[in-house]
Amino acid sequence: MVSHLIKKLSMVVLLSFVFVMFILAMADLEFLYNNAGKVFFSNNGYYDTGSRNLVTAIYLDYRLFDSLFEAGILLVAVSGVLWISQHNIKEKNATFMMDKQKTPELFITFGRVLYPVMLLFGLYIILNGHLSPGGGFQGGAIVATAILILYYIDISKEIDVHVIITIEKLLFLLLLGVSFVSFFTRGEIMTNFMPLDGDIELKQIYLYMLNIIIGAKVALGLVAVFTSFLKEGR
Amino acid sequence: MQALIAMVLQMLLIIVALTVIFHKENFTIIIYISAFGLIAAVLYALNQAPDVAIAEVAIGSAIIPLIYVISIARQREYIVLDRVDHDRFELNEENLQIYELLNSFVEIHDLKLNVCSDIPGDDYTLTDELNVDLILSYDNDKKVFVLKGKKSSILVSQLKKAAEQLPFLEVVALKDGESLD
Repeated sequence: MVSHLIKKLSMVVLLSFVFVMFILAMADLEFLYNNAGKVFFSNNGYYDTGSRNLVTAIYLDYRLFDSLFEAGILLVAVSGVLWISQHNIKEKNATFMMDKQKTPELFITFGRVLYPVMLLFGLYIILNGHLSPGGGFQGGAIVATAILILYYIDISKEIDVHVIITIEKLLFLLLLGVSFVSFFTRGEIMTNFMPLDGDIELKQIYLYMLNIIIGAKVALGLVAVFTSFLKEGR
Repeated sequence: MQALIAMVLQMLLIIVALTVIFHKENFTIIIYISAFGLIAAVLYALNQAPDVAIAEVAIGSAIIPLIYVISIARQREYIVLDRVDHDRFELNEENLQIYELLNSFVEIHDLKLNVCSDIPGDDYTLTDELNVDLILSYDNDKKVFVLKGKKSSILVSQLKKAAEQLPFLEVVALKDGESLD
């Protein structure tokens, strides 16, 4: 009884502490909210990085360091899922009812119509990441969704998860490699490898490369997660 | 006009979120989660964040519901491995009663019964490593049917209570090893 009271009291104290800190932070908001960063990015973003989409300009050039760790987090998460759901037993498992049942014809027909369109849209978003909203992560997720539809069309499709995770690791190393090339050309790491005062179209080569690598990596990672969910317990 | 649309969508978002919490049917909840992702994506787009909106559409309303559908469809089955020699006709009456019991038990817990018979192997490794929930066999010495299941499963202990009314049925809980599930 007493321990319950202590728990509730400590919860109230904690919440009121958070509330006070929130109020204090709100008082400093006037000081924090200036538009210096906004002005800088809208003035220099396009000429520095060659990206019309300023979000891409930030996450692939100014703040590439953050994006690398984001990609690393996805890699670690996918590896964790695969490690938890690893299974080495073959052939003697019971078949699930979902495997015995056939997917509805309507779903298969629509899936076949939808699949190439979704794949194309995902590739468009990856390749136009620096011109329009989108980028490697969003396009990769759409490509992964398109591949997932294939499972519903034909459930017996076999994909080797270990090959996929190996390719993903290699792509992460490639991402690191591309981001470190600028050390030799510009003298600083994690930025565009073309010279700062160079042609904008040359700078866009770097954005294309990084978007394609990140897109492939995200698509492969999500497909690996989904495949291991499908195979779990089978 | 845009402010009005945003306000309506925000209220809808709260309603959908509450529905997700309080609804009982699993597959309906998945549809609501998908709708939640779609509404959130529209709100992101209205607040001038199209990049986040695209990511939210792809992740929140396609991939997460698909993964939920797969995992829930996997969890709703109750797999029974039948090892009784059905050529012995003197067992038929009792066998039918056992299946009636299993059917009603599965119906109470909103599962689907999946009976299979042709998997060889040791009992212990089967419940330990495989996805089989129960193994039904006939003990020739004691003249009783034996149902074996994992000790860690709550359903097995409830099945033990349900099986007390049948004198010829015995439920045994096998201790399972270091399996992750």
